[in-house]
Amino acid sequence: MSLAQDMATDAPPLATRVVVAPSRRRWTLLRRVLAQPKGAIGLILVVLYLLLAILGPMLAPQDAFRQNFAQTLRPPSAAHWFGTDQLGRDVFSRVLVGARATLGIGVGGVAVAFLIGVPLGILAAWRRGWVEALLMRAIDIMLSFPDIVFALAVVAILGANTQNVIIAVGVVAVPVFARTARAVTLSILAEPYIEGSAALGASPARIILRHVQPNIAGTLLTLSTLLFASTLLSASGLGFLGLGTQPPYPEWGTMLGESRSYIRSHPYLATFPGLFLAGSALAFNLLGEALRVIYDPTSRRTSRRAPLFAFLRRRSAKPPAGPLDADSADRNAVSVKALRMAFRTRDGLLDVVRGVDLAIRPGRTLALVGESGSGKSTLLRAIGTLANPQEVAITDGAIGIGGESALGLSAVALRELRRRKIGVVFQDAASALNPVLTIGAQLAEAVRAGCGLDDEAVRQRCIDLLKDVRIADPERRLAMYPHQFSGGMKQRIVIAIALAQDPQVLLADEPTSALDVTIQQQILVLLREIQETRGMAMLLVTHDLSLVSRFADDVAVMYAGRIVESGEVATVLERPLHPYALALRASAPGGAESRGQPLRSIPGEPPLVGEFPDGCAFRPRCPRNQGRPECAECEPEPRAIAGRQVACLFAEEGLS
Amino acid sequence: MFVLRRLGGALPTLFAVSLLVFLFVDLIPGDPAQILAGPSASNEEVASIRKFLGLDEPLPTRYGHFIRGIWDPSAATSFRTHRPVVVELAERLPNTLIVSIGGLLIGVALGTLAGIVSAMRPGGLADAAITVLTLAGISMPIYWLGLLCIWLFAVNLGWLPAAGASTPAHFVLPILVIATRPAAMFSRLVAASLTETMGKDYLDTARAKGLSETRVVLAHALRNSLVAAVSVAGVQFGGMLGGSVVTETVFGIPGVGRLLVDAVSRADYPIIQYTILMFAVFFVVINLVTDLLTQWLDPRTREQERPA
Amino acid sequence: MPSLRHSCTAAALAAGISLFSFQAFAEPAGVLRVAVGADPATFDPAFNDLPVGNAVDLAVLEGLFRLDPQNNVQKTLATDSSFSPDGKIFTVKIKTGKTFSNGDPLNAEAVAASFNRMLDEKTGSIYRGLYASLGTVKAVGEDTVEFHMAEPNGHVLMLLASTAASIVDVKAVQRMGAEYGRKPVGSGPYMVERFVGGEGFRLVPNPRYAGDYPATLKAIEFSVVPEDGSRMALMETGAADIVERVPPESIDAINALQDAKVVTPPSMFSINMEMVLRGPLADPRVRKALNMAVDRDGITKGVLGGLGTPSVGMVGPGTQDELRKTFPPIAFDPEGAKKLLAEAGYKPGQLSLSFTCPTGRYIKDVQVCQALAGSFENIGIKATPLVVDRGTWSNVIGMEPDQRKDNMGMVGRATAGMDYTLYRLFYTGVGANRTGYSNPRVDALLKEGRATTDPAKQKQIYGEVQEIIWKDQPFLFLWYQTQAIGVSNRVQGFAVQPNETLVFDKVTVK
Repeated sequence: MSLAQDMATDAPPLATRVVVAPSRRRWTLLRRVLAQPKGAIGLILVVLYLLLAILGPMLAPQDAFRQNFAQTLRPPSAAHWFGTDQLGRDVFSRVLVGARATLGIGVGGVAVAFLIGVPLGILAAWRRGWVEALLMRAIDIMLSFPDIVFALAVVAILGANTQNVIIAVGVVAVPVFARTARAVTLSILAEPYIEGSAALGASPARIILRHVQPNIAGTLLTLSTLLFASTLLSASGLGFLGLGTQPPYPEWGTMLGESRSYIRSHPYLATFPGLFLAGSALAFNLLGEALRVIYDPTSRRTSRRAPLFAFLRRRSAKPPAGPLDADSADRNAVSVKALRMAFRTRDGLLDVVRGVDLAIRPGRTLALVGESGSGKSTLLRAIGTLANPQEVAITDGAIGIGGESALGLSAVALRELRRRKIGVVFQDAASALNPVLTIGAQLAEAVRAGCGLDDEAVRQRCIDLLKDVRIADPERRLAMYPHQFSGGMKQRIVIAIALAQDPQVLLADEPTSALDVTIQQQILVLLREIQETRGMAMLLVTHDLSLVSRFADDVAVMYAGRIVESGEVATVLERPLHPYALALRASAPGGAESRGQPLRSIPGEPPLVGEFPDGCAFRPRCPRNQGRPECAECEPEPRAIAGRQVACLFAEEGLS
Repeated sequence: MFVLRRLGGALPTLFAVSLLVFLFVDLIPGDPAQILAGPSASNEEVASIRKFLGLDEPLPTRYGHFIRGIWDPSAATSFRTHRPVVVELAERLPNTLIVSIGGLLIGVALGTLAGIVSAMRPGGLADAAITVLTLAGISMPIYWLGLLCIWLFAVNLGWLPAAGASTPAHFVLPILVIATRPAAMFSRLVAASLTETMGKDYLDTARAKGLSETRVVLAHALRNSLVAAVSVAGVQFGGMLGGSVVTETVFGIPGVGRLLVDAVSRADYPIIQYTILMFAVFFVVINLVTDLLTQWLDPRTREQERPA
Repeated sequence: MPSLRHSCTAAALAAGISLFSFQAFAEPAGVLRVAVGADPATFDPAFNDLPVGNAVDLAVLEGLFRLDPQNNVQKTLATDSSFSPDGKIFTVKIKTGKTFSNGDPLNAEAVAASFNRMLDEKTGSIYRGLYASLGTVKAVGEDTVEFHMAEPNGHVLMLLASTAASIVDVKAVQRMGAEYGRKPVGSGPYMVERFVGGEGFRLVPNPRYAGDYPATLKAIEFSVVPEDGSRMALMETGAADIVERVPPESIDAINALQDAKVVTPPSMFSINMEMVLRGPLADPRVRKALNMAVDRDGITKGVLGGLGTPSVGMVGPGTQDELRKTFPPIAFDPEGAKKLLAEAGYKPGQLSLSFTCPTGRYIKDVQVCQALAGSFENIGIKATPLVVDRGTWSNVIGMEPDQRKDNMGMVGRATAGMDYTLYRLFYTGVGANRTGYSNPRVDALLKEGRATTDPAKQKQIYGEVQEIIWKDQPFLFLWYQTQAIGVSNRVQGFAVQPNETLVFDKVTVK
């Protein structure tokens, strides 16, 4: 417990959607543990167990060591809640008294493993070279001794008592700590900011103390908790083999081991220590799981997405509206009507897209611009039918792709729609390609989906697609894996996959922000060409206004889940009427020299999802607001002004 | 080539293990001669047995003898049975392998299945049930579970034999009991890494191609998730071989684990030494197989030079 | 002459056969399934140290003599035996015309070879010391074996009746090497058909057997299941007809079965805390106080579940009962014990004692150890039980008294006779005397007793030795273990020897 709190202070701030004020960071870990049912149950149980360890001997109603041969093996009764054991001792009292030794073994074992393993692991990662080779080899050797035999030998050599059991189970767990500490340290040392500190001449000890230690603390805390449980169980295994703690001092594992032949005749004898033991392992496992969810970046998604028992609480979202009216649908490649979307969270639904209307005609490119968190990527995924229904709910409105409704489709119809009409290019080409499959396999999959081409035809089509995206030597490239390509090449391949089925709509989510400037140009030029030659509709999501004027026909500016201004690029960018669009343009004055500048110079922070202000969402940052009561009253609806749609009550002020 | 280089690289480790294990048995309390002679033996009788066992020879001679035993079975005989250690091991290893490999396979299969179910419907009833079951699975001392299973399935229901290893039916309970731990570990591992993978853009790429969700999960997500799982499986398997003693004792299966622990309690040095050496060789081989599997699953690891 | 003797033997044999004619001529029938707790490493009598190995040796091999279930010596291969007047040569006449199960002749030469193999240092037998007094063994003709004794020994029959003295086929040993330990070739009614290490073994009738105990069973199948609960499950599921070592807590469950019950024959295992006679325990008052502090009735009933009988003498029942002497049990008297301690100069809490116990070697040893600690605490002694693994235990028990750091150790003794037990444990300076006990009178008596062949004289000598030991209390005398064996009702004629050897001579199954 104290360990957990110490760690909380050092815990690195983690990027999450719900950011907690820095002054409360001390309690962040605790709150985040308690926020998960697993964590809450685990933590409560762990606290109870630890209290039991501290207070157990005081709580015991009877002398746990007092023998009474006239009262042996009595079943549970009012006098002996858990019955009596082979020596007539009160099992309930023994269980209470045994908490200290049992948990002591767990804590002690983990402490031994931690204190030996972690420094060794960090040392190996820091020194590399022969130190690392030697240490890792030594750990290999340790691992090749079977656990239980190793522990057995340690206890046999040192003698069986609680202290030696702790040493034995601790030493057995050393390799796990050492390996983990080494792996985590290695990855942290490879971070650019650490390399920077080293380059600035910071001493190794300082770097480890300042940077490495806080960053691996979380992982190690998690590991400690999980290992606690397995340590308890290996100690109980030693008890089973007759090498547990010394009698007469009670310890749950030894009690269970000793009473195992009574399972049939006197079931209570093994049941109670067994339940307490399994319960404590369970408690620490639950807590460990909760910590893992918090610290393990790979499982962070789970935490947001999959709270235990969430199914009990999930509110059903309103079913999306029915089919689009026919007249607008047939003309537009993409048609979005009054679309509302919300994140599913533990606290209910948080609006993220709040009534968006959008249309793209075939052969046109619409650029969707806005700051991070404005909901533009969420909108793109919804249009691409790729919004994860477990994360995001479409609560209202309609989406039409090429005249078909994209909502409420069966799985088969949805696949068909995606295959025939939609191509998607993602921001990060590296993660958009499956690292374990060849390019050829991934392309072929896209080509083959839904049509009966033979292998040779599929191959030829793949080669053609690669040629279309200007990849040289396509025949040879098919057999290569994504990691063998450069970033720009990967993005070309992603585009090729998107084009495989001649889609009507190409959705590009910041397709170039991960690439360097010259490559950006090439990719965008390629996209534009392809779009024009194939007559596709393209939705280009970006936060880079400078790209918009050169590669888009129309633009829609998004703020806090709404489109605040939209129209033709020339009209909107020439003279934005919405104060946010104005600010956007001001922060990115256009021209090649400032391309790639992020839009961070607008005063104030964008509002967080779920914390939108009343009335106009831009109100707190708006220069026109000046305390006008109208702005706070209601959300302004888009109006047609000067050849575009603007959602500002005072849009006309931009004209003057 | 890679395999040969790896095996070559393992030789120093194996040499160190052989030296350690040789010195290590002397630390185990209990003089083999004293144990063989029994509590009523006189010092002279113990000394004579010690001489017979060759324990009065100097250390280097004994180590040389130990090393010779690696290729000469007649030089490596059990103190208790006088049969070559290799014969003793050969007799028991199949049982241990059947239980460990069977348990691992079933555990991995069940765990992967449970992990997929969990990851596909996070927060669902199935996920909650699987979470509870797996956590219970790794929180229960295995011998307790084993004895309860014997009680339920053998004594009460009479479906399966209680103990022994003479028929295939005898292996059902131990394999299932052994499988609980890898099943629990794998379901959590696969669920976690699948959930991670499920958020990856390349799955959306695959979905945008118009592939079915099943295909997306099996062809794209699972293979990536298995990369992490395989290395854990390797370590698990090593642990299961060594940890088999408890299950073997509970279910009365004559396996290597029980042989080893019996040997420790009776200070049967040759059995201890060669068994641990064998485990070390297994460990090297398992690591190698894990690496080969990882390389097969994940092409990114193929060309990198890995320190042997 | 030989032919005459032969016919006599044949007549005796015929008489024996007629007694058991039913079994003798009945075809072996039925399969007996036995679940044992210990894992026998070898059946080679020169190395076997487990009761289950004894049981197999008794069924597969024959000795010159054997013990009946009451531990009385009976002739097996021997027809006659006598000492030379000076007691230096012991001559045994054996049956002729016998063969081992592989057809090798079992004649005087084979018998001598079997003994000489065990006595050869190169064999490394764990019994060489025990049998060292036999000296060298010579075959005279086909039917006579002469033991040229290394020292006079009046207990040679007791030694020769042990299964450790069973006759092995030395030629087969040479051919088979260590495999002989698995499938010993002997002349007994059964032979080992199959042995799977750690799993079990199977005995089948020996077609060449000619003797008084012909095989009655088509097969005896042993399975090795060390875990008590699992072994009992075999009995409860009907997968075993006999289970060895029923733990006290399972006795009721098995007795509750319709078709099985637990038999509880006495065991010669005498469980004691053997003291290190130094420091506080050199004082007889302290030793006496310890002996008075223990509630033997309470512990044997409460902890051992009835599987023990409070000691009435150092030597357990069945160890040459004709020489055994018993005494009134030691009364449980903690108040008296406290007084004795005070007399010896120890105030409550002043005396600290530690004692070593094994785990899983004797019935409920760990619990007993705790119970004893409780008993000592009750009379104001600080008691520390040291529960150790088998290796450490054997190390501690085997130490010289002056190296011991603890004060007592729990040891169970089941031995091949009065001379062996008492001489080894109490003769001054003998290697196995780990208490440091020394009493000139006892030394003199033991020496005399060993050389004496006259039973009456032996009885008088050993009676006195037992009395002195009982009074001197170099041990904290505890109890004699009781065996508990689950036997299915379909089994008949099953017997157990006090040394815990299962006897299958007349077993039939329904």
